[in-house]
Amino acid sequence: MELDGLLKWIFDTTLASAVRENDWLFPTIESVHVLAVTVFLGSIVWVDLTILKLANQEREPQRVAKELLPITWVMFFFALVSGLVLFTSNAVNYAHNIFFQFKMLLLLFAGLNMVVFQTAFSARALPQSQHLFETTAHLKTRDLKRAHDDTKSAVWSFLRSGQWSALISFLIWLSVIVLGRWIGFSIQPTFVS
Amino acid sequence: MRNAALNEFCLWLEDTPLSQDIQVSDWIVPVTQIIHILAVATALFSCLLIALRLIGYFALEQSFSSVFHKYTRIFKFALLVLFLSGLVLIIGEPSRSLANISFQIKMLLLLGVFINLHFIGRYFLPPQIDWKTPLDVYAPSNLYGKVLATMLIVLLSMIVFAGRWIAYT
Repeated sequence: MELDGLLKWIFDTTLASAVRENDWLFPTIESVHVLAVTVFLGSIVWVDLTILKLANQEREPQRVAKELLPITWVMFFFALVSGLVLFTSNAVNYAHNIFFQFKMLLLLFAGLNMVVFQTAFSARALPQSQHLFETTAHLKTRDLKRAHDDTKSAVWSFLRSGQWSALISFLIWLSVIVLGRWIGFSIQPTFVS
Repeated sequence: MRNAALNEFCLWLEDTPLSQDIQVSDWIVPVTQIIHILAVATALFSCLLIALRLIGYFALEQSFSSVFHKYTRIFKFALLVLFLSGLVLIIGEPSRSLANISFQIKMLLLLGVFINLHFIGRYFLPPQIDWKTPLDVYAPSNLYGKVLATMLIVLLSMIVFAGRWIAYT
């Protein structure tokens, strides 16, 4: 009940009313949100794919990350601020929407994943990232025992390098986009009390 | 632009069995929109990286031509996905898209992106220039490149805005 009270208070703020009642404010802020999210998604997925060596293989992951992460953070800031403003306009219904709740949960996981990666793995993962499917070439030429050892070693290297973190990040952000779009199809229309 | 012929075409398209199937489906439009947005992100980001290379911020150790060719390939693929997913959305809701001013502006802006990329390719890909050297060495071309890159970023941003406004106009 207390949370609903807070949400109702947010809904009744001047900012929320302005966004809700103005004909062009909501679409404009939503456009900023979509623009920020698309650039944010592009930058983070590109870094993830580079770390996984599934794209951009000729470049050092560290260099790509250094170039793109400032863009990621700027876009994250815009996405966050615009997202918060959009949330105020229909706070109660957003908060009770299952897709919105899952999206927030995934954002939390994405943040935790990033913190773990930055603190424990980034120094190792960026320069030493290996091709995710490197062992398939070996399987054709080596005997089964060595192939088994190579696979084990590749998996171990994958886990140790922190490339799993890039894979998780990639999957989380794709899911965030899917959930974000699904909110639009499932949210209750705004009510004015 | 909205005229009688366009309205008539939209009404005809709306009544086709394929359009009816899309309209009554609970999942076709949402799923197609998700694919469309992911393709928008891919197209936008690939063009953004070309623009950032022209500005002198991204991948300076690589030749401009290799960056241009690499990301225009990705852009073309994203464009194909955009075209196919966009087609499904248009067939499902023709009046909402074809006869919508925001959609028409979006298409014009997309044309602007093609023209912009054409000029970038025309002026910054000649083989006589040694693009292995970082771009900022070529000061005269650099200013022109920065102007084209800025225009590209503005056009792409406006496309996203126009795309979002389709739902409200």
